[in-house]
Amino acid sequence: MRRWLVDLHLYLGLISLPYVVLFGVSSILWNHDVRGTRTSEVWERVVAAPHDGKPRDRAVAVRDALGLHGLVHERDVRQAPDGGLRFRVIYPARRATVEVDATGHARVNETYYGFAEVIRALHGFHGWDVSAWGYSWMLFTDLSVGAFAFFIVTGVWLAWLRVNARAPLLGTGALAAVVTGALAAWIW
Amino acid sequence: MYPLIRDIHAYLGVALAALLAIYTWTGFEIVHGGGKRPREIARSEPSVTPVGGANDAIARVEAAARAAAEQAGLAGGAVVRARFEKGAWRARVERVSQYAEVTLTPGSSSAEVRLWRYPARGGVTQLHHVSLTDARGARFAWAIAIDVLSVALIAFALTGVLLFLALKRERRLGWALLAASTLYTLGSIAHLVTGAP
Repeated sequence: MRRWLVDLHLYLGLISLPYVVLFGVSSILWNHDVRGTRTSEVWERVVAAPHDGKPRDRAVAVRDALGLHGLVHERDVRQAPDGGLRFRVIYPARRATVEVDATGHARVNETYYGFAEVIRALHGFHGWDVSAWGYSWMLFTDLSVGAFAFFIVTGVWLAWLRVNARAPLLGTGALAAVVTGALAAWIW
Repeated sequence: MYPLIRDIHAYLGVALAALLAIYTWTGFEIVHGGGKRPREIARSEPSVTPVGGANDAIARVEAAARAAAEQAGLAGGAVVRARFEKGAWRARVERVSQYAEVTLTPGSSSAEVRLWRYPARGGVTQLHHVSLTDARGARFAWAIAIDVLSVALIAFALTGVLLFLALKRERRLGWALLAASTLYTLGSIAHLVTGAP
């Protein structure tokens, strides 16, 4: 049993190791509000823009025709009087504002928010299943977060098994837990 | 060397287990829990020292906002931000589980205060959002603890790899898992940096 749990602790640790490191770095970036360097690019293209259907569905079709990927929220889609559309495409560390007229002439303003924003965006990124990568990162996040919970439980258990070091290890943990709880209560 | 690395990994782990547990759970709640909205619990108009217009010193405005919030029942909160908008100063004075929205009209000796409180689970989830940028006093100590946890996470990973390297048994599966997840993570970063599909 012990060997099985140690192996699982080890292998889950190795699988989630890059996520753990990324999590540590991204947490520091979030805590200190470190932002990336923003760059923008404007480009234009003519696409076959649908004229029928719900605005969001039309926007998604234009997004795909332009080769963009990301989320199109219904609330971000505006119709122009001439039948054109204006909408936003949202992806981690990227935004694109698209204006397409009734003839299919599209003007795209793409903004990239920089490397720091990429790392920040990966912190717990979840729920944007508009791309295969987004879905896979969602699963990787869930796996790693589940692994954190497993590490805590098995880690404390492994500390218990170290008979000679049990008292100082678990004493350290208990003291830290009390301090953590007191700090949380202080700011509550 | 191995005993030292093992002890570092173990002591870091137990010392930060409670904090990591809080962040693991609150992170899960934020992603899967759908958000726990606060509800307004009180409105009041406490007396304050009048503030000036848009050019008034932020420190004076924050002090007035904090005093108003305290009179309204929110003691010891940290002002997150004060901004001059539509002819009045609007500030948000926060604790983790509750906050006060304070409106200070220039020249007025009373403030409008709306007090909001998160339900219990929502309040715990708000712990996840405390950061150094808004932190004073006790919140600053918590935010520093987060920095310590963040560095410790990196240290866990590195000491974990060293412990793995010290294993005398077959390590091919471990190397394969580590290589696959590392390549996937680096590929994900590259995907977002380049914007390539």
